[in-house]
Amino acid sequence: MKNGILIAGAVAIVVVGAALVLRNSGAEAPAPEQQAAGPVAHMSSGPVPDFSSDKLGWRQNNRGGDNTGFNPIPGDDSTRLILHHPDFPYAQNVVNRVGDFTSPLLTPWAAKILEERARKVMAGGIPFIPNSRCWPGGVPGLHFFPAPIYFLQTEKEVWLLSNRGEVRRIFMDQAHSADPGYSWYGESVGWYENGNTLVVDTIGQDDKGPIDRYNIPHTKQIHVVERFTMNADRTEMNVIITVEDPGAFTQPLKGLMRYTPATERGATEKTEWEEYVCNENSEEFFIPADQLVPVPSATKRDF
Amino acid sequence: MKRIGLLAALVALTAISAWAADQAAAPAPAPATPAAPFQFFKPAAGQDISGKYWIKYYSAKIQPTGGGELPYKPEFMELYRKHQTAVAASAEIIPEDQARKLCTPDGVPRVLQNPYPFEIIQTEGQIHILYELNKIIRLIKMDEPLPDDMYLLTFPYYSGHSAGRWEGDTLIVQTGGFKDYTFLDNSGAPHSDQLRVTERYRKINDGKELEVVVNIHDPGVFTADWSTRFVYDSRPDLKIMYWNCGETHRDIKGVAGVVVPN
Repeated sequence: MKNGILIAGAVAIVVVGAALVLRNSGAEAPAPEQQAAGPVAHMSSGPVPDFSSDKLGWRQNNRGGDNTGFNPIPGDDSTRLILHHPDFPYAQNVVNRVGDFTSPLLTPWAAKILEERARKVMAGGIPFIPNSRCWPGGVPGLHFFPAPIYFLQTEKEVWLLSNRGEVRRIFMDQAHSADPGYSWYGESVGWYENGNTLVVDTIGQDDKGPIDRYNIPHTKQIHVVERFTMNADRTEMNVIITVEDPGAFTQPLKGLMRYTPATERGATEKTEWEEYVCNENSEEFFIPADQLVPVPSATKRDF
Repeated sequence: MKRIGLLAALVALTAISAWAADQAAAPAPAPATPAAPFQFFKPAAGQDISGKYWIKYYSAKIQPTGGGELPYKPEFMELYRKHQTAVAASAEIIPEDQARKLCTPDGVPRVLQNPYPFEIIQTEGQIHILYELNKIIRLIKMDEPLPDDMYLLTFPYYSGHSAGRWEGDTLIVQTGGFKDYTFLDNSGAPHSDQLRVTERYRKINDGKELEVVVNIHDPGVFTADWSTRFVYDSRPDLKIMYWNCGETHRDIKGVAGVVVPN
């Protein structure tokens, strides 16, 4: 009897221990290390995930988190974000964001610029928000435009259309060009992985716009990798965003934007793409003009 | 000793129960592969007009088939002359021309005559035309009819609402529901909210060119329907560039008929 109880106890401990090992080995493998931009093309592998059929739109939905900014990646200690300055109030204010210019993730150059922008907001100034003044979002800034996005998928190219009138182009299964130049959205190349992920690698962005609504600056060295991963029943899409820029950041920034299918409030129908023209009716009647960045406009014809 | 064994068994059994409960609460991880892999859309034979295009000949003033003037009613011909005079006066943009001043969409058919390239993307149930100029997006629904007149009047778009169908190798696009403050061309031709445009797209010259024949119906300003035609080179070598209003854009001096103001 005594020996039987001892044996039962030992067996139970072994079983529990084995179960714990099995649970850990069922955890997802860590994401592959970020590929550096270079001349080698990344080729897609596995089935092509369906981001686009049925004209599906995707809307930002971070489940109580920030729908117009980076979010931490749950359970991932490689998350690196520059968020709201801890000494200032209105931490959850969507509009009047004050970036943490004391973050060790910022180079001295970037910290100085962010401090200027942050102190202007704290003094009552109006922050610059690209989509509010009809400026491009860039990458990753377009994720923080409060509007659904739509994918168009063909074999050679993927387009992201924003319901804010913006278009991103991703060239599939090819390398970056030798001289992509510099532009608002840079040059994006992409490939599919694991049957559920679109990886997008972007270089060649000029340094005109901020990376997010905290107005964090960047340089032309910026290199962004986005991993769009969709679940099997197309009800959720997580985008892990990594931003490298040795001119602005001491380490790569890394965060999450989560999307769910776009629907009108209270309805189950998909939200359709609509024509949206930001520049119309852009006069401002309540804020002095010298506090606002002008909307883009032309004075001379190109033709 | 017996008590130690009993205690060990009790601890183990408690741990097993907790682990089992934990497994029941944890959501099953999503499988890596979706049930139905995506299938790229393949147009039917003779119905593939996807690709990148650039206009062969540019004219600021839209040219009606058969020549002559646009058949305006007298009061709208007067307005047209006024716009033409203002547009021709200088390289400055006239205040009424939002498409050039604020880079709002040109409208149809004006966007068809523009000297910057565009691309046509065919996917299931829809065709998108993405113009480099003003980053204009047009959506042509291939699986729905055009909305009714009340909807078109209530929710006008700069580029109108478009519905398309195929007749053999020709894509026929019907568009209505335009905002009435766009111009029909770059010389300031006005239109009304009754404008309805029918475009016929087809590949010609062994697929090296795209032809678009356009019919204009607008009883609000015209005495009769009229038509015009545009031809584009197929340019698979091109990449469409991003457009931000007021900045330097692609060099278009090489497009026949373009005059770039100093």
